[in-house]
Amino acid sequence: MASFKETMVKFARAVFVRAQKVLLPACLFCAYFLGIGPMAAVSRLARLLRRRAPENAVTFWKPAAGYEADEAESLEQS
Amino acid sequence: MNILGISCYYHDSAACLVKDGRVVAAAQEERFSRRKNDPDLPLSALNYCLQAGDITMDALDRVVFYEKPFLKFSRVLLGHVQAWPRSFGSFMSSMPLWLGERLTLPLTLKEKTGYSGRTHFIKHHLSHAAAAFLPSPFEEAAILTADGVGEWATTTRGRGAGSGITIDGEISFPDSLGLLYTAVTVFLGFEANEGEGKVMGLASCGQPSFMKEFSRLAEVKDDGSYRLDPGMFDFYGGRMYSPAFTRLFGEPRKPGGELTDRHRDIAASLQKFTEDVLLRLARDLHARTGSRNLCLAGGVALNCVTNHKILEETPFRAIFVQPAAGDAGGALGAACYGYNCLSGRPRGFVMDNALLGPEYTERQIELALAREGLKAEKLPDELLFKRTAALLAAGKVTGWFQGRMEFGPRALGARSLLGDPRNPKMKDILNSRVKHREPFRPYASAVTAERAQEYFDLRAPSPFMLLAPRTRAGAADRIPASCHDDGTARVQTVTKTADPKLHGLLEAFGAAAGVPVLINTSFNRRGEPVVCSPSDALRVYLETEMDALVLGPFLLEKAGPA
Ligand SMILES: [Fe+2]
Repeated sequence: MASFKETMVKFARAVFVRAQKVLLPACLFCAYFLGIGPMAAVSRLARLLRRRAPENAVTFWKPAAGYEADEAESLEQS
Repeated sequence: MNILGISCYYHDSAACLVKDGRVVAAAQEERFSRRKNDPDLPLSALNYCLQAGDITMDALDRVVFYEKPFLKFSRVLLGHVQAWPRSFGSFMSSMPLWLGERLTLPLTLKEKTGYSGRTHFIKHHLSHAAAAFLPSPFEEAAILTADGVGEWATTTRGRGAGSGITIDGEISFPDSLGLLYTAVTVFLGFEANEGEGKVMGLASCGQPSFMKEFSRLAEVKDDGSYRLDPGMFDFYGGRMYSPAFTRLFGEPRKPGGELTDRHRDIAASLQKFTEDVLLRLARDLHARTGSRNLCLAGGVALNCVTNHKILEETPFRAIFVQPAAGDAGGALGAACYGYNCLSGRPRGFVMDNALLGPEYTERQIELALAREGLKAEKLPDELLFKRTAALLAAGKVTGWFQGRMEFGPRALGARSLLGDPRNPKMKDILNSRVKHREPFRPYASAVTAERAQEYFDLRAPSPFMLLAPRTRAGAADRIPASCHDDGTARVQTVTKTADPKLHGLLEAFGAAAGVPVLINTSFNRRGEPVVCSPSDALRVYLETEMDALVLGPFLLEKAGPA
């Protein structure tokens, strides 16, 4: 028979798994409307204020950076 | 030295093992999980690679991941900001995945495989570039990569020489030729990341009468660099195109809806637009590098029509297209980069075939047959080729399962479904009995390398079925099922050295039927991954109207109607 401690651990884990199922979407929902939303507003405002000038460039190529991965650089995830 | 490359978490995950400089194994996870385009951490593919290399996780010197997760996450987050509030659905579905495994790969690897050594991360397009150049036969070459999007980059150009790769230019999100192609694919009622090949097939049935509209989607410079009109696309808002796009092209086609000339013409215009951009990019790259050789990778490089036009219409004289040009090939690129660039070891491996997947012994095949209660004839090679050729010449749809499975989306004679190209109805037969594809989609062909020029106007060998030349005058009458509506054909050239069995069969078919050409399509049912094991092959054989199956030396035939 399972000990009291084991039962409690299982119970706590079950509560955690269920809470996570509700909490994660709730947190994401809040993050989307309270975090991403204001960021979107600021970014749109910034875009309005700094309208892209008509492009006269002869190319849309940009210089590439970060493609010389060596031992140290390649250990970074960003 | 053992290096494992991994690509996963987006589309079509894969693993690849480089052992002392040789790519000894590479496979997509979908082939084992039987879940098409499986994006999960490729644990089965990884285990297969270790087995094939006869090593354990402890023996790995490095694991190299095919992209930089944090960098990609920054783009995804910013994309959701820019598409707020339309990005709500995409945000809610993608974030749990990001916060789960995607940002914690070293931890996940440790938990699931016990690996606690060094994990490296190289940029997505560097993985594509490495997959294109490092296993190529060229000492030096120009490199072009183009796909939907990696972290930020969508197109890169550079040069490879010796064991080094230099990327000197990039075009970045949201400007993406691959995403434009996908947006039009979705508009035409096909699935993103799945239907692009169908649209390429549809294009051969239409006329490019929408070029004016396409010129409004993107501004293209003389050097091929481009910028999309952001008002036309909506990459995070559920569907990929905007209302302005719909105003320009009319109502989108519903999935499964009727295909009209308008849809065919939009597809043909998309194809022409893609060709124009890639030809400009290639010409400019040639002018910059002066190289005769071009290496291509990224999903856009699966466009075999464009690849052949690059050979016809630019000064490049030789081309190597990574057979796993999509993201699965990123695992191979990452592993090769780990060996040649991170470890500084010289190149010595040339990928002259794509047979890097699992193979099965005769005993395993016999066991699979016994499990199904089937009896098969075991034949020596020459007789097997002759008997199979006779079946094919009699119009039988035949499965061809030999040796190691292919790496990449194309079946190249290891897990293939074969048919007689002389029969103009062969496409319909394959469709109605096994493949159940859309009727407009063409089938590819395999031909002996020695006789390819008799049938196709090929500018270079096409071992990976990634070139689509024009068929020669007169050939269309002899092999009508191989020809697409626009007079081109997707071709695999087969040499005796690269694949003695398929080559032997093609020669035997040539002797029996007069043409050393066979329709060669992937051995699977619609919506399923290509078969991997003998049991997978037997399941398709038994559950469809295939006529015959060759499993290694064993030949099975279904009894004809009484
Ligand atoms: Fe990619």
